[in-house]
Amino acid sequence: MPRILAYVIVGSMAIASLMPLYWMFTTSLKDQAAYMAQPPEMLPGDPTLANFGQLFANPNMLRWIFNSAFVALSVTGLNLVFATLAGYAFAKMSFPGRRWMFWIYLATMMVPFQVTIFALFQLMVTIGWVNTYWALIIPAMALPYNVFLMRQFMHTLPNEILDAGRIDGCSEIQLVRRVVVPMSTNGLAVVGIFTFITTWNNFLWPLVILNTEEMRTLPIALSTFQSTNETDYGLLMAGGVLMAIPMFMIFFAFQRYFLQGVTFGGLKG
Amino acid sequence: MTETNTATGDRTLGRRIWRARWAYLFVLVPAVLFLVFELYPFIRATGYSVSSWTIRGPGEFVGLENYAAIFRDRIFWKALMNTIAYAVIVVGGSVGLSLVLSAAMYPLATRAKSFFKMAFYLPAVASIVVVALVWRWMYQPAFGLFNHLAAIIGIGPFGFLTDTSQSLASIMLMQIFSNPTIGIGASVILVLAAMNSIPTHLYEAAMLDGAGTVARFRRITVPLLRPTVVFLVIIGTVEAFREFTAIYLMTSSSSGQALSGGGPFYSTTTLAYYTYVQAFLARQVGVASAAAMVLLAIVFVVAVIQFRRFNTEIEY
Repeated sequence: MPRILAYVIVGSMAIASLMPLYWMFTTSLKDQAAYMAQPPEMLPGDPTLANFGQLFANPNMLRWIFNSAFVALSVTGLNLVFATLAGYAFAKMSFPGRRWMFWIYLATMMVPFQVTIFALFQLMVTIGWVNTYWALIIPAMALPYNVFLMRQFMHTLPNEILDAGRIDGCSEIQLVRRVVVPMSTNGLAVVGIFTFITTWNNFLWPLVILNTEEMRTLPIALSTFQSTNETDYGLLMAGGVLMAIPMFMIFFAFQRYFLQGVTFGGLKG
Repeated sequence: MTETNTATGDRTLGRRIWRARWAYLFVLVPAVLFLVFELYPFIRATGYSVSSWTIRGPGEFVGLENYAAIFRDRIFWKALMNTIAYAVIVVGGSVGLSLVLSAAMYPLATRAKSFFKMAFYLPAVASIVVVALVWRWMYQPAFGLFNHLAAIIGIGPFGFLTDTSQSLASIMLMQIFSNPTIGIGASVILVLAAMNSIPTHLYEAAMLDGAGTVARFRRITVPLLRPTVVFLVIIGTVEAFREFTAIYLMTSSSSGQALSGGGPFYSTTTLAYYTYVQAFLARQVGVASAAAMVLLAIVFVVAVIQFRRFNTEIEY
């Protein structure tokens, strides 16, 4: 294939891919007359930050940002701890039941949330966790996918180093702290980044379990900006920009973890 | 506390478990979470699916009545068909497009490759919530960007999300471009990584044997990419069957009144959306649970079939 043709195909698809983000940013800078103008202004003729002002005029805005950040940080921190410990146990320790426990665990990743969500909701009603941070944090504090990822990652650590540590009299917990964690920074970064993003963007469970305005997380709050009569798209897009900016910052700070990819030749291991 | 299995060591199960006490401590939290928040709700949900539970609250055992009820429900069949169409087109479209894009990107300079990977992946970073709302705005029939662009090339105007024959397709197109798990962003990265891992000496040997570009692509690239493609298809199918968020955000007219979502006229109601409406809005929990079990059965069958192929093809 001639190189110029490749550039044309890939380049036009890249423009199509970035167009919605561009449109979100520019719409967020337009007032109502500007975003409804026909034909649409490709560049905002008279850019304004009024939509962002209106966003923060809402007394709950800071609370929503806090809710999202608090839940996402808590879930990420807890997952780093528990996925490391469990991943290490599944990868490098032998104990009766290890194999079948791991397989059951893998199988649960396949179960659609729709199957258990109502029973989980009922459980939250029973223990009084409806509309609390507990409901958002505790069930998610050791996500199966993260345990799986850490297990795959730690499988590649050399046994000789672990054995040397044991001979030197390290207990297993010391071994994890002094040897395993320092050697697993890549895996921890991947788990941390993706857990934070997934939790920040989580929608269905918060939608079901939260029922007061001040407990909402950003995605839920944003979804209520759409109204039955007339949606203020400038305001909606400003909210989208606000929600997306921390994610873009994380993306650009940790680009290589996103773009390197993994290969599936050696998954069997 | 070493893990050596000497012949003289006591081999009773109790001793082995005691010696592995650290390991059990390490998996304790995930295990408890699994029992309380996965297994227990799963068992309860199975129970719900065979009991009557309507808006008045829990009822008694009714056998397979709920399953019979959903199979009589035309909306359920509509949702099932929508789900299958959605999974096939989104997964097929995304994987197909990623293969074409990756093949076109492969020979480009490293910096161009990085830039394009970033361009395709950025929508996935922005979250499906944000992206769904932006696309909804672009699809807006009167003031949206898409009808303006369509008019420039002399077609349209389209109804997009407001038209029963275009609504599901509109959501599919959005997902192919933007879904964080199964969109082209994530897929291109994985396919390119797989292409890069193919040893160049295979191509050199094939060239010495007189194989042309097309033959090398067909005989070397395609077979060695199969594990990655199968992986993408498994993950994508599972993800497609549980799709809820974008449909909720792009088709409901207001939060709290999501009964109007999944339309117009159920054209975007998928199985996952159907179970949500039945469980949380109509409070037909028995019916919802039965539908969720059907969803699980389909995902399970698809996953098992694909895993079989995955395992037989993975080694090269």
